[in-house]
Amino acid sequence: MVRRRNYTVADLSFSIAAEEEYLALLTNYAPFEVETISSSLFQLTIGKVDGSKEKVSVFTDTSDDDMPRIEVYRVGEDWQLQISMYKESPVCAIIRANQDFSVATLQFDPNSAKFAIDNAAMLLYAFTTAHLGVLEMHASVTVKDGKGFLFLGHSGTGKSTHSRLWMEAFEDARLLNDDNPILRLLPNNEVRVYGSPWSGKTPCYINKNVPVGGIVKLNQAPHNEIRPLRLPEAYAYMLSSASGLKIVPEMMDALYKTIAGIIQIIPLYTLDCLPNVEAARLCESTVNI
Amino acid sequence: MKVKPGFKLRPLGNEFILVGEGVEQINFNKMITMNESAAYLWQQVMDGTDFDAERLAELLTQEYEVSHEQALQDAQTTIQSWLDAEIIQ
Repeated sequence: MVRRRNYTVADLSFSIAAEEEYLALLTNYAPFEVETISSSLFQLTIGKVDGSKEKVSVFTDTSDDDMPRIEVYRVGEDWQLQISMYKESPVCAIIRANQDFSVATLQFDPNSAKFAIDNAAMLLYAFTTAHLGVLEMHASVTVKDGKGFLFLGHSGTGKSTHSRLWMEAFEDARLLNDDNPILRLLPNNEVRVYGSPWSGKTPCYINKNVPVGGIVKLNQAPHNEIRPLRLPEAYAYMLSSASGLKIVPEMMDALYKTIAGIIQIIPLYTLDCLPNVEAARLCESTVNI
Repeated sequence: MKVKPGFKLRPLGNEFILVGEGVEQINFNKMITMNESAAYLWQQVMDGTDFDAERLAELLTQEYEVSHEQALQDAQTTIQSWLDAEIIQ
């Protein structure tokens, strides 16, 4: 039997409808489940995508070898996104969405159900919140002194490791999210970071939010050294860490507005670091002011 | 000379950054920063109109108080850096 579940992530809601066997897989969404929602960003339904209509290729996103590959098509006014787990693997999820991504159908290979639902929800969340001052980030977030510290970097640069080093170095440091936190620039110019149902390989699905204390781009290095980033560099790193669809001008205008606003409030740093506790201490003492 | 399609000039504080945002520049991942005068020149030619150093020098002398000789030199430097960055063709 198909059932619809409602979720609120970073104070913004969406719903997923699926057979119970698939909803049972979504344990990471449990902390975010709500009874009712007054409005929704998007409604995702697990079902069959009508394959009879002609699709026109727009582009293929192969930005990172370790990241899922996403092929983007138009089907008339609608979108079709096809996701593969890695660059060379077969398509395991097909999303058909209307023009503003508010109504979407997801079809998947049953062996990849969890991966497909999570990736579809993440893409739809990013695409439908961009104009609301929201960034779905690729980052690890640690909370200390009631503030969230975001660590950015390519896959494999040690974002999770750096979060773990903060927890080793400081007794009161806690992980908020290890892969895809939500960052919001609020109308009062406050910048807050929120936990989400998406946290990469670390099961850390915390429905909490805190003001942002700092944002740090990590680089592996044979030494520990930290320096502030100038605005253009800060912008480039934030943009490459935020989800969005590069070919939709309104979405890029919205991301620009949000990122430019955030980096003029929160200073960004770049940390060359070794995977040691000294790196965490240097980072904290510089950024947590 | 013409600008390549798919770029967007974004102001940041008192600087500008040129980012690849269109489908043509989907894999462009360099960061091009521009000062105010370079950004001014880019804005004048970003619709894809043909230009050369003479044209940019003319635009510079219209906007700034510089000699033609100085403007031409600046225009040539600008074109070379844009060619190096692969944002014009």
